[in-house]
Amino acid sequence: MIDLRGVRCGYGAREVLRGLDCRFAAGEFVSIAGPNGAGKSTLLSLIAGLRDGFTGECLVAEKPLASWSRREFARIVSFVPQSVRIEFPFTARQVVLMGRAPHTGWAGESPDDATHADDAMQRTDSLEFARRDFRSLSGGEKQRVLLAAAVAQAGRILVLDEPATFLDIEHQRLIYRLLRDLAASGVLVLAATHDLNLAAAYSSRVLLLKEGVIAGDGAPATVFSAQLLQDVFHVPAVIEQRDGRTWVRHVD
Amino acid sequence: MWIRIAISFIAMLAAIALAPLIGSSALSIGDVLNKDPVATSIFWEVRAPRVLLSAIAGGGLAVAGLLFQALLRDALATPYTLGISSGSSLGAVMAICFGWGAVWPFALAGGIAALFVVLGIAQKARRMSSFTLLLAGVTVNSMAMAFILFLQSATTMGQSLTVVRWLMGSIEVVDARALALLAAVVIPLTALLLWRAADWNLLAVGEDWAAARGVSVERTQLIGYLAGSVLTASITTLTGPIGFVGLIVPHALRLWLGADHRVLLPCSLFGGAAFLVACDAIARVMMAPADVPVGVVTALAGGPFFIWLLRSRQP
Repeated sequence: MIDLRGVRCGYGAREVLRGLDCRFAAGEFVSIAGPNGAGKSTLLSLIAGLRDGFTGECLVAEKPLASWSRREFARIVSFVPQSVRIEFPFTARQVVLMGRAPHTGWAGESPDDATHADDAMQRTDSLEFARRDFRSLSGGEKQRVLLAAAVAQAGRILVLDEPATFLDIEHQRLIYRLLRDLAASGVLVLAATHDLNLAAAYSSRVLLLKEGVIAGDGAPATVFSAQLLQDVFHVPAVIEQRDGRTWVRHVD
Repeated sequence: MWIRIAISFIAMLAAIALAPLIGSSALSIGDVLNKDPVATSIFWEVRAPRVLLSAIAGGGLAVAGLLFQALLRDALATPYTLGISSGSSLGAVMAICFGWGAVWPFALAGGIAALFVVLGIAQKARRMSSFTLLLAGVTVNSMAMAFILFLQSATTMGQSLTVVRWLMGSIEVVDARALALLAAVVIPLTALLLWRAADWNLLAVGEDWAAARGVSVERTQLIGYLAGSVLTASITTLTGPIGFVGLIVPHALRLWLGADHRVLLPCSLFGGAAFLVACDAIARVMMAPADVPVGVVTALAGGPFFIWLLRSRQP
């Protein structure tokens, strides 16, 4: 679904992505991890079509990024920013309904759009504050609403920038299960995260970035090693395989 | 949704129907219908054009204010934030001080010149970011005001008073052709903006937010800024920069209706019309028989509202 070839991208003279080659297929749940400034957000916003001025090739559904029309692209790729600051009194439900914009004509939302929105809010446990002013929600509630907007958008590719940062553990679990279910239904999920155990528990693949290049790529059980974590994060860590899962524990 | 639009439409109709009867000399609807010559002439030649100009100008300014607030993602933006009206004012003041005759062609030229200066500055930046536009607008505003003050200090007392009156913004009697021209600008532009209302919702949240939901951000922003600027310039040309309409009306309506531009936009058009028609009626009777510039009335109503808004603004 996504094919990156020799992608380089930067801000002015500073190069953030320094030559990435990788492919992502439908149904994968890829966690993207790495230290601050490794290029996670830049990579995700590039894939979401929000950055111009990169070199190399980025094919999305076999087509180069530049050849997509904005509206067609928004029908297959949904992007969830880490947070948004809204100045105006939109309700949570109105924010979710905005996810339907690429499917909606000028006449407004159809009953089908409303169904998608309600269903997405149900799945992210945000239905109870549907009518509240988005600005009055807590960080975690806002994050669930933003995710609901992306789920309502119903794309085949879901790109998320640290979707669990502000969530309590109950909702981290809920959201990561939702992402896993979406991947199981054929959606390609790409999520940046700092929580390596969350990544290991739910995602099918982990991509580790370090200074704009790929430092590790593969299933959680194979990609995490004490040596690699030392190299990438400069942290001594112990990797354990327990209950059929990979656990990362950093040690003092 | 439709009920609320209908309510604001009825408010506008009521204001337009009642306002012509209010003024320094009272009119009764009976005299007008009985074709009393004095009443008929006041009604049709003085009051009706003023009321219609107030309605079109108020509606257009409220729509432009709403649009600039969404595009700049700043609830305190007004139709004048980009400096378009300062350009109009500079043109008008030059025409007054140098005795060039009709003021409006120079006001219009000044507004268009300011638009090109602002867009020129913004285009130099990589993207047309709202921050650059805001700064460009502030710069154009203060430069134009500096020129205006300079001209005003160098001119005669009588011309200086005309300048002050222009800068306050006032509704004067205009001929039917000017009214028709203004309506021909305001109504189609508002229709265009209404057609793209969902895009203003998305852009009011953020540029990346809109882009990720299918909006061609730069083209849509350019359409919005051009439409808003043409609205502002053409209205200011006839009335001068009437303050606060473009700020108060969208705000008050947002408190009542929420932030959805598909509802806010038509309601701002009708609500702005009703508001300015009412303010102009007050301006006619406030110090009758003297005529207070309507900008004084909107400022007296708007100033306290603005302070309240600043204090209650979300952190």
